Amino acid sequence: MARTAERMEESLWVRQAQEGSEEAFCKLVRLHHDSVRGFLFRFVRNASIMEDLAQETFLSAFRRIRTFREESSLRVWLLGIARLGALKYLREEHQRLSRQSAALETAVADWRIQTLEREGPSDPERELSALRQCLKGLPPSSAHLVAEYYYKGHSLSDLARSYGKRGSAMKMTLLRIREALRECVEQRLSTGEVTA
Amino acid sequence: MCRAETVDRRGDGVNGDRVLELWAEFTAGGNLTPAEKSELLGALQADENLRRKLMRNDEIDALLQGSARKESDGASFPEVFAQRLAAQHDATRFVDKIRTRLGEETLTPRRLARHAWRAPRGEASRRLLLPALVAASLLLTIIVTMAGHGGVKPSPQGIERRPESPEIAHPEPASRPPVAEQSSKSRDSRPPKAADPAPRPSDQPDPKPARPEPPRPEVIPTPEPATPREDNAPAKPPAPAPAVPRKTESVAATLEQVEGDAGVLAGASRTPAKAGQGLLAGQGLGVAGPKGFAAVLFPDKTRLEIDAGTELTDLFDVDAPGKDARGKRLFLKRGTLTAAVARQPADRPMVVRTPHGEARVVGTTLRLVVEPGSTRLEVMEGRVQLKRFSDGKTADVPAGHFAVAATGADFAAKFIPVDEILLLPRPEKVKLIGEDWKLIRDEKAPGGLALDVPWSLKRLPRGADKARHPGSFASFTFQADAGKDYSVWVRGYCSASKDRLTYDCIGLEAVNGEFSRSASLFGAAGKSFMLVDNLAAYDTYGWINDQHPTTSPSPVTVRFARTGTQTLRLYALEAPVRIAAVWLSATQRSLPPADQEGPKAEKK
Repeated sequence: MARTAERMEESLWVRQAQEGSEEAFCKLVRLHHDSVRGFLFRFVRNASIMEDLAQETFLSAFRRIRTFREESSLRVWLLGIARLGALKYLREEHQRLSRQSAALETAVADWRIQTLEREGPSDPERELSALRQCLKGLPPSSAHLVAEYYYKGHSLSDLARSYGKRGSAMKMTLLRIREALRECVEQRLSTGEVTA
Repeated sequence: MCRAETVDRRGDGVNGDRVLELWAEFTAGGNLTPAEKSELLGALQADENLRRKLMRNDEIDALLQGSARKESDGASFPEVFAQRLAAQHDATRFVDKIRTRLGEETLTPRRLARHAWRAPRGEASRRLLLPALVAASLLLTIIVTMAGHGGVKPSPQGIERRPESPEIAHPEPASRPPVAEQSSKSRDSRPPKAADPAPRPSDQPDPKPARPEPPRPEVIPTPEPATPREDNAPAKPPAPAPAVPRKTESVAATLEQVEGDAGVLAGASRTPAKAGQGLLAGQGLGVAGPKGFAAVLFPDKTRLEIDAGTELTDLFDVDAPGKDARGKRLFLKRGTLTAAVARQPADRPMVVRTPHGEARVVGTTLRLVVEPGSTRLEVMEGRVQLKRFSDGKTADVPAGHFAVAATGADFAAKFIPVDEILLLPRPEKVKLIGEDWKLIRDEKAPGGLALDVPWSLKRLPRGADKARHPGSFASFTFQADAGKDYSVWVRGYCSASKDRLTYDCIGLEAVNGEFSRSASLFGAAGKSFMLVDNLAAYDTYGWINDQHPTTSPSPVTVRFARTGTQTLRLYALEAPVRIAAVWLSATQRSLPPADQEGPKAEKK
């Protein structure tokens, strides 16, 4: 019921925004900015640039809102605009890096472009939901480390000190935890075992 | 977990764990040697499956970071967007008004006479309209671009240049900005920035005015300021500098202003600082004493204001382009620094380091306060990235927000509460639209500048028609909180010598705000307008709310619909009048004494 009510509300705001209501469009921004920002950050690994691209995405969407047809999902439509922005940025970044002869960084940018071109906009909310479920399945020590590093904001050097390890060992431990999470997330997404 | 999968699967002799270590180091921002980078690149190019897994691993890292950020600072995004949307909308409406205005004015005989083209009426209209539309389109582009960096900025070009008149042709830099504008409680502290293009309708070519200019009020002339000039050249020292830089050492910046006890720091030595003196690359500045203050100007017009109790060292300007070129940088050891940073090269931001963190700035107005144990960053314009040294975390701080870098403290960006807003007419702060208002020198005004509506305009059209066609006004842009009642105090007087009571009224419009008592004169739009009448009660500057003496026990207040950038417009309804300041206060509820120039608490 709640989901249906949300959809009806969103539909109303879309219509109001199409009639020029900035207030209604700002409500849509509140609904979807997490998805758009999450999607952009996956490819643009710079928080400041991601925020700028997200703002541009919504400004562009506001200008084009009259062209949106409700047969598709608004979130997917927004992610499509965000994807174009991210591709443009990554291509420019790729050119900049190649001019600097930064071969590894250029290659990584190129691979991100390929991923984005190949896959199109995925749904970060669904991925996030799968990730949350996978986090619950981590061994307690791994879950603790993830919480300390990602959610409480402790630095790697602080964690290395408290765990009595070298910084490089901490980086490897985190990489292996992410690898386990990756497998779990992909498993859940492929089998549809994702709950909202 | 996945160790067995990744060990030497490629069969090229490179150990899989080694690749993982290099990738972990690379993605964590660690320093890999060129050889290690090359080794990692080769391994990733050789094994597409491994590469995809590691790229996906990196995406999981992004997802985790994004989910953590969502819980900390996501709330401010919609507010920032609403401000940007409003700024863009305002810019569009502004251009529409200019178009309308130009369209209307090109049809008037007076307008035609003021142009050199002596074409038939219809042809003249077409010839004027086309460039006007092109100019308006360009203006829209400029304004929208500027809005993306914190809103439309006032421009020194907003002031008409008439050398023979007392109106100002250059930004006023010499006097110290009133302390009220530098307070953390006032987000409107924007020291002068590089000139922004902001054409106005009056910028249309006007080579041959058809009739003489009306007489102008006599204004006591003020000395020409020493710095800065309109070009980008560094300030010319008004007096011999005590320490002349050696030819082999580069001057990073110039001391524009010095008050009280200020000294130039070079290693362990401290020599008295003097206005106009060059600061060499690597030198610093210490300001002490209760009245200490210094302002530093870089060649690109980036301006620093240093308050008493502040010590900064290792000041450098942008390096010449090269492999290791870096941008402006300095170390703020303690105290308070306010900076208006001109746009910097994207790859060489200005970096201000403190004992607790560093701020990376591409172009904005900010203030940094360093105290034992913490660094507080306030951003008035633009966006700044603050890095906390204790854990390497960064926070993006947008306009109107602050963040504190201190071990164990909440590191999220938060809104700066604003209680006192003192709006002073300065070239970079006020935008003049139309021909009613002029910015003039006036030594009786705080800061030496005032808004003036001259005699010639006499009694102006008023009422609802004025509200519908607000073609000429002075506009201030500033930061204020939503839902707060700000008392409105206008500092001004009627400058007429006779019939004073007939020529002493202005109107205020709060865009996206409502006054507690509306101006019925403006009809349906009344709630956004208020009248400030009876300026004739003063023959020099004094404070007025809606009337003087006020007829109500409580002053008229204004309340804004949303927190962030606000706009207040002044309309000349009866002239001649002169305005030195508008003070919006959440605390001052009674008429301030005439000799008080602004919020008391802000004085140092």
